[in-house]
Amino acid sequence: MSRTAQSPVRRVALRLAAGGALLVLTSAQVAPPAGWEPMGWQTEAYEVRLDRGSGRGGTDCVLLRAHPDARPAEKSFAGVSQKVPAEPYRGRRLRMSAWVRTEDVTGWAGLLLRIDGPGREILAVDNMRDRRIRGTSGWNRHEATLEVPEEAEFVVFGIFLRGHGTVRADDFELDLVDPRVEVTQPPVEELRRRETSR
Amino acid sequence: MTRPWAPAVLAVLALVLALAPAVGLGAGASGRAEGGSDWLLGGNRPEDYAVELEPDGGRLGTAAALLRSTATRPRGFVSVMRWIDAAPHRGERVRFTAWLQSEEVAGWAGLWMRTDDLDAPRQTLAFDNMRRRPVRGTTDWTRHRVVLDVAEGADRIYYGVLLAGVGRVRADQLEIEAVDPEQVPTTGGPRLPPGPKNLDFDHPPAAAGGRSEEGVGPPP
Repeated sequence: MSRTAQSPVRRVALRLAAGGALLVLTSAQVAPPAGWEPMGWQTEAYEVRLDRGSGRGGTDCVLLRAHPDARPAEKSFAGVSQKVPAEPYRGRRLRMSAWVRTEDVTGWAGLLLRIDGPGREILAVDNMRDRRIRGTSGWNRHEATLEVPEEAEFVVFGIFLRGHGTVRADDFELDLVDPRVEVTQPPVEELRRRETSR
Repeated sequence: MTRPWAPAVLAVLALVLALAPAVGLGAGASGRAEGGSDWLLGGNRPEDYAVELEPDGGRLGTAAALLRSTATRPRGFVSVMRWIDAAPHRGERVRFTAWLQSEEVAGWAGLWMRTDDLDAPRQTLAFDNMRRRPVRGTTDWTRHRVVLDVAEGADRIYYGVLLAGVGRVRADQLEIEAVDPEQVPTTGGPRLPPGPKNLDFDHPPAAAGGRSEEGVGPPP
């Protein structure tokens, strides 16, 4: 029986031939870089870590990966995020941007920007589901822009990968932008209004 | 990055720990309090500095802690620090005092103290590092203080002496005590909300980087 190719990931691969199917159980690692929190759902198949020297210009970056041998569960995803007080951004328009490089992303990746209100109510959110990052590409800048209402408590931002592929991200930025810069998603309240008036 | 300076750090740390009781660096009369740490080496660039005990460098000819830069262009800061359990002090106003003497401090030096809530998300509740009233240049022995209110949610009080940049600073008679809120004003307050960190993955916050949380003081 062939052995699983050695990857830099410290992982335990167990292969079972069951009914002719090859089942690979992989225990990868979610180890966010300093200052970042893990995010995700059923992250067993994913590797999340600092990737030294692979960033833009040879600096460090964050790596998200679901190895081809791994079987990420349906709707599973993994990534990194930060949660910061919304106070400096209240009443303004906030743009988050980051540079992203991908290899063989057959699932999809996206930046996440979310504005949370009191009681963790989501006031606005953009996860780029309408402009998914896929395939293989060099460093591209992606962004998400949301209005931060006065009642906002926290801003959550980050990047995630859903399904197979390798994603590297570097140089996140949070900027207050002119209101003429269009939001990439309307407030949740407005989405609800549209929904009910339909 | 590997940490080739780790052995040196440990050596210095061991020196500090070994000699601390002799200097009276302990926490006032209580010495090493239950639920607290020994004196620790902190800072985010200890490889650019040295921390030593001077047996007769103190204000009254006794021993003192000496923090000095060793690199030509020292980065970050170094600190001698310890922490105590905040629970007995919740609702109290706490003052950390020490005598400092400086020599040709081109960066800055100061006392610092902070209170942390260790429950996730871990956060700093109050903080003061004398950043706005720094010790600079060459100064004779002077008593300095930082005073903070200990909030109900506080779990630990961290405090120490820091040096950032070129220079030498000696510290003696470090004491922490509860004070009367009506008599003593605070010098620092609730910390500004933490902002985004390490967005380029090249600048990990000081509290990270593989060292224990206790080994690291606040960024200056």
